[in-house]
Amino acid sequence: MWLEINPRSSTPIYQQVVDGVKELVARGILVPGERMPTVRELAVELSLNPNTIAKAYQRLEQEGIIETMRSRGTFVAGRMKVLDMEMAEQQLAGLVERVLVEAYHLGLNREDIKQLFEESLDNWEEKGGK
Amino acid sequence: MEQAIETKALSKSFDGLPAVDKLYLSVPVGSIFGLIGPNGAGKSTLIQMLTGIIRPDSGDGFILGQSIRKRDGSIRNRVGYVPDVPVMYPGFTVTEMYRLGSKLYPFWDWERCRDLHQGFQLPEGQRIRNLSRGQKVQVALVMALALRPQLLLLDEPTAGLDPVVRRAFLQTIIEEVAGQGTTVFYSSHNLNDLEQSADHIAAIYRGRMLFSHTLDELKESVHRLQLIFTGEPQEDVIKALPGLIEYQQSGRVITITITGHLDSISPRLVEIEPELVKELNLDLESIFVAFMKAQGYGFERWEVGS
Repeated sequence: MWLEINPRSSTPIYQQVVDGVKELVARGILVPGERMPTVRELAVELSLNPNTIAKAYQRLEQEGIIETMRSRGTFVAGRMKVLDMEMAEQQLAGLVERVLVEAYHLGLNREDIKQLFEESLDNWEEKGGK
Repeated sequence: MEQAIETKALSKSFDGLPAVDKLYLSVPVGSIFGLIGPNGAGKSTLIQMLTGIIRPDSGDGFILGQSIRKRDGSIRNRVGYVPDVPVMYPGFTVTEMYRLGSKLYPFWDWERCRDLHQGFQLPEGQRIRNLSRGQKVQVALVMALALRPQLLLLDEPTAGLDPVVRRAFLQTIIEEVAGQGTTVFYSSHNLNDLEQSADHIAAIYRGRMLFSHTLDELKESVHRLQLIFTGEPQEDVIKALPGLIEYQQSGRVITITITGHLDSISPRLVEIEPELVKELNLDLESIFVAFMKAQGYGFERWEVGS
């Protein structure tokens, strides 16, 4: 499993692994029920610290993205049902705001942003994104 | 035993000059622990004290739960050591060095030795004196791993290795840690290597601890921020920010490097009313250089309000 990791980024490596796996799942490259590499396998493959990978797996499990079955290994979990709409919205609102700040400084207006969003969404679905 | 290495006020002077000065260090079991510091900071002296090659003047150190002051050498049965310049018998062949290792170390593993030797594609019958520095380092690593270590002490191991061998070297270490739970303590000037493979980083300077953190903590507790102002920036107020270690101004754009968590820094920034705050990428090398400059180490002219 290949993840693009930049060790020199300010984003901690475990966070990059978490984000990378989430993206692979969202893109449908990793599918529910699929077996994840072991911590050891992934650490060696990416030449990253095993403790860092273990930490990332822990977070992914807490967030319900993967699940560990004792003695059988770690698997991609089924898609989460939206249990708490309010919490989900809150989490996304922060990200959207960041996009809006950038958009303002790039001189985009309301219509530009809406159009961009629609296009991105179409693009995402075309490429098999879920 | 939760700490693979622990030192308490460990000190060593040479000709009255302290090389390691009342150093406190804790290295948790199973970590890959990177030691950084400028030339002459005391890194090699520290590692040599841990291996028992030189004796401390005062203070104490423990590796795998045993004092480094113990003289019988049994403590070294499970410690692999790769020095920056490996010292081996120049007239021995590589195989003879391995045979010597197998006699010295009670847990010697021939299978592991052969696997690693073949993996690195080292010449068997060649005498040590004919090997390159990089090859000697690899032979030293093969031996350090074949003795089935619980602790690996590496002093500048990747210096002078070509990129392919360096990558193989790091991968071998990662495999060892992931598979055997071995603790790795290594000093390096190659901060990119450390940034990729280490989970803990300690920096020493003039024999003393500058900081010791997990790499994640370190990244979350040092920030480089660009502040853009529409009016005149309040220079004095910014320079007086607690935790500031670097300050750079060009017109109305001020770049600062500051320690502390963003949650506690943000409210202070709001007070100085920047138009825009942007966090810039800060890699380990930049963090290290910023800390060193704050200590007055370096060549650049640098100023900051005290």
